[in-house]
Amino acid sequence: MPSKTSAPFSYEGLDRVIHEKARLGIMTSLAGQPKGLSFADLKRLCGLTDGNLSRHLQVLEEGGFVHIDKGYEGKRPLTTCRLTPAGKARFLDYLAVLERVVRDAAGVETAGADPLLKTSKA
Amino acid sequence: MSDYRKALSDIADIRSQIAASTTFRGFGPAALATTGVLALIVAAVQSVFLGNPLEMPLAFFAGWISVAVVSVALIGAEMVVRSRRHHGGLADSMIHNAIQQFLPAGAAGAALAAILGRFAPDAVWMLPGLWLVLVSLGLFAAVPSLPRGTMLAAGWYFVAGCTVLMLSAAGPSLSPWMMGVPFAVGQVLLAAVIFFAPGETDAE
Repeated sequence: MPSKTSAPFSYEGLDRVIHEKARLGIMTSLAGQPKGLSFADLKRLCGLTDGNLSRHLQVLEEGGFVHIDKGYEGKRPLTTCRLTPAGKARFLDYLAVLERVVRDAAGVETAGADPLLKTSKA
Repeated sequence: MSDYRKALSDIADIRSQIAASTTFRGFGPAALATTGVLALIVAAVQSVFLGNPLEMPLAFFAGWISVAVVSVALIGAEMVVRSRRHHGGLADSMIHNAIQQFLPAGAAGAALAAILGRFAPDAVWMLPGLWLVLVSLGLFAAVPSLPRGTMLAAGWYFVAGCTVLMLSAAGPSLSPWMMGVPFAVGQVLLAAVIFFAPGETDAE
């Protein structure tokens, strides 16, 4: 595994499960919702089809990022999804790495430096 | 550069959104209870050495302002340590939110003390009651991000503040116990609420 100093742009903490457009949208939608969101709300917020949303939720649930409750509201079935504590912690770690990516990109552009030269000096 | 700044600001917004929906676990029962005991000690010392506090308001309020400063320092130090431990990457946002919730009440308390002390010294007997009411307002503002039982402590401070105002108005009078007992009970109540709060809950 490359060290942080030898490969500063390797971004090891960028979780591959979250780092996918649809799943990132799902995680971000759920982030500020302690009670979770219904399947229908998530579908609307993320612009996904039923099948796509189900597939991505399954990946997130298997990774321990989200918890899915299948219940009823009155007589209608209601699926609710919310972040697990571990999912929230990993999403926050992901945000920290993402922030580093943006800062690094801004730094490289400001300095106008060749990243390879910068890396070799580090 | 503005695109990068916008991206960083968006990330900060997401973090604040998560912080706002997370129960703040930065307040520690030990520091809260200690400040309550400190209030009782100061009340006892003042009741022995400070004959009629209305004749020496400066000494009376200097004691209580010192209690407030020490309390803020103690609670603040424990808050930073606990927030780092419980909230990890969210710690700074959570601390920032907590300060935002309590700052208006704290600033109003300091302003009231300065204004009454400077322009209406005959009305300083109102300060203990008003301060207690302001503490209650700060706590009510923070209830959404604290364990639900915090409402009890906030309610106590409000009722105690109103009662102290009514009792002080009868004289008018200033009493160390009217400042110390409500504060001690409120802080110990708050410490108990935090101590018995469930471990991993989110604000709802």
